[in-house]
Amino acid sequence: MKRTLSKARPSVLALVTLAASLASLAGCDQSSQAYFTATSAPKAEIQRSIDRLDASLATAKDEQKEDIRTSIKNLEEELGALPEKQRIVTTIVDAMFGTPDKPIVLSATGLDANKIRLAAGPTTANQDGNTGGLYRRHCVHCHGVAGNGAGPTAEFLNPYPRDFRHGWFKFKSTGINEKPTDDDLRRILREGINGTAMPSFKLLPAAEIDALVEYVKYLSIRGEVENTLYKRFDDDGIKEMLAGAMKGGEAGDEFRALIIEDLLSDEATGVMATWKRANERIVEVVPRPEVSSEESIQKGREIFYGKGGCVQCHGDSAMGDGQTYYVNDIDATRSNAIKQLVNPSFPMQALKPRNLRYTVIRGPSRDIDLYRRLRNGIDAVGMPAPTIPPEEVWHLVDYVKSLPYEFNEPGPTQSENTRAN
Amino acid sequence: MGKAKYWSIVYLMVPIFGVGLFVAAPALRMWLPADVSEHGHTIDHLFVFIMYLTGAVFVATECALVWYLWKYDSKSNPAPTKFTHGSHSLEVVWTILPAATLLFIAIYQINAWADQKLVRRAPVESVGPDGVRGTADDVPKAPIAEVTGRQFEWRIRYPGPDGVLHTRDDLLDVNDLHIPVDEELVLVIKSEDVLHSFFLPNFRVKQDVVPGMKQKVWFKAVKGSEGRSYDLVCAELCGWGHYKMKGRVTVDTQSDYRAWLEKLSFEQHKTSEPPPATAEEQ
Repeated sequence: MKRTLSKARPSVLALVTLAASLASLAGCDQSSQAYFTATSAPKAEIQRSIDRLDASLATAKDEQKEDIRTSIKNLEEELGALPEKQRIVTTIVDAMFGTPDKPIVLSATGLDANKIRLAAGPTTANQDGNTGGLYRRHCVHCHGVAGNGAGPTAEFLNPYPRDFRHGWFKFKSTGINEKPTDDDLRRILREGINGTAMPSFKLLPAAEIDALVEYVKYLSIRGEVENTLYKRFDDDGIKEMLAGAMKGGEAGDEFRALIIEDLLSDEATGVMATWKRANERIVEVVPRPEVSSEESIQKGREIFYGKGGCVQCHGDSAMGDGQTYYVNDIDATRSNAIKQLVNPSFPMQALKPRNLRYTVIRGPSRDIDLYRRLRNGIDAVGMPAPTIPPEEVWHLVDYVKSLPYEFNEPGPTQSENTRAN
Repeated sequence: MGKAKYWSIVYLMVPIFGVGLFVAAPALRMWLPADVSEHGHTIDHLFVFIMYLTGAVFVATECALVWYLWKYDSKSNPAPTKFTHGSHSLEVVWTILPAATLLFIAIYQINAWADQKLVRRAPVESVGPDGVRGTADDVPKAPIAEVTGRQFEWRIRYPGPDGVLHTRDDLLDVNDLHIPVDEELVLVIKSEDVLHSFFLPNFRVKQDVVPGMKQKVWFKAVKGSEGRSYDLVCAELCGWGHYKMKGRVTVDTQSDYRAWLEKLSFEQHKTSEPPPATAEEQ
């Protein structure tokens, strides 16, 4: 008896392992199907709102309860209507932009189809060392097939990878609410983002970096159009266009052209409007004031603790612990910010003001990059621009750069045991 | 005479192909990468020496195995095997011989190890007042850069004009290390997250980097290697992107090296940028 048991065990184990791995494979397949849509976004958002309202019922006053219940009911109806919405939006966006394997490059986006072809699709390599499918080779693990910031490794990272579909980028030379330039995206790819999980791709050939930049823009534009369709789904004009485009055939093509015209090319509200003007919105960098670096640091310190207001979040110690002062609805600020930058289906991560004593500066760290960051603030995460004259921003740059080294003595290298020689 | 004994020929193929592969490897470009370091030949010598030693033992063992298979096949040896309790003297011999060999290798390689791993053998600026190298009063040579491994890249920090690391004038880069040719140089290596291994195959340098430890490696790029780039890779499985953790070491002439640092400094401190080229210009 004993003998049969011990014999049976390995085979049972093997079976269980096999079954488990098959199950996980099946799971993988399913989720990758779902990657190329924004579907998880509205669903998670609505569900979260319902949960929040549900929780607030317990503490609400009696006269408020009815309103809350009505809101919950409306939201639940919205949730119920979502699958049909999704079907329509997904069909139309796929028809406009294609799929990850066969992307369609609309001329309205001004993107370079050759570059997109190099970056999209499954990974390939030929004997001459030419590689294709660059996005899936280098980016997909974190940013996901759809650029939704929900690749397989995404949930283990802090901060989460960027969800390109919202079209928000933090590190750029342009102002608040503006898109990054190609150079900005190229710099991020080449230098990586120190302090996050984004590594450097500096050694990739320039043509491959350019192709990836183009593909990131493609994913952003696609996602923004998709998000806009969800938001404006019930608008009068949009509703007709969508219904028309769903019909297919020549009439459908005409309606699709209308959607492109309205959502993409419109000079005021179209998705492309902001992308196209990025190069004109680069923030001007004023010349450095002619003072010694010590004096500049001293002035920067005064701004940091004074009119710059930096201390409110970054703290007296500049270690990012000042948010205790700053209780003004910070949760709402955080959740909005995070929603715009990362995949909304993940649990929230705290958005902390940076510890400026740490030698790692997140994002590009040339003087000019820091100047622009301090001049503009950081988009979407709630870091405001200090209200100081542009030339004084240089003092703040110098002060922030000096912070990690103010009290730091470089430590000794590891010593070996010092026996007599 | 049975036919079964011819199976032993198959086993003979193992040493023949094994040795053949090693002989053919350099021609197949499967051998060690070009050595451009001053000390690398001692490492290569140890490698080749140990390879010949173990190779000889391998060939001898395989031949003995095949000979026994050939000679004692069951068809031509109908008499049952006699069990013996072993030979005490034989066991003493095959214990002492390998032990002595290992001890010899341990002593033989000791200087090569010490020269590369003991911090007191690292290059010094000056030997200090007592005039003896390798004592506590030595003034160690300042590192030319600090390389920090991180999932999945190598962050590089040059000390800047003041020659001291972790001061305000440090110059930062990533994955693209430049070093001067024909100069005894020291690098500080660290890890920011998990175990990595700092590996320069062409300089015969490999050192695990451990989070929380600050270590040194030292080597000298020989004349003739300037103007070329070599691999900087991670040699310790450090996560899913381990294979991507690849940098580049470029050996520069002294003047190119200074120009490189100046370029880095210019990039870091510049206060204006030319506007991006428009689509038409490209």
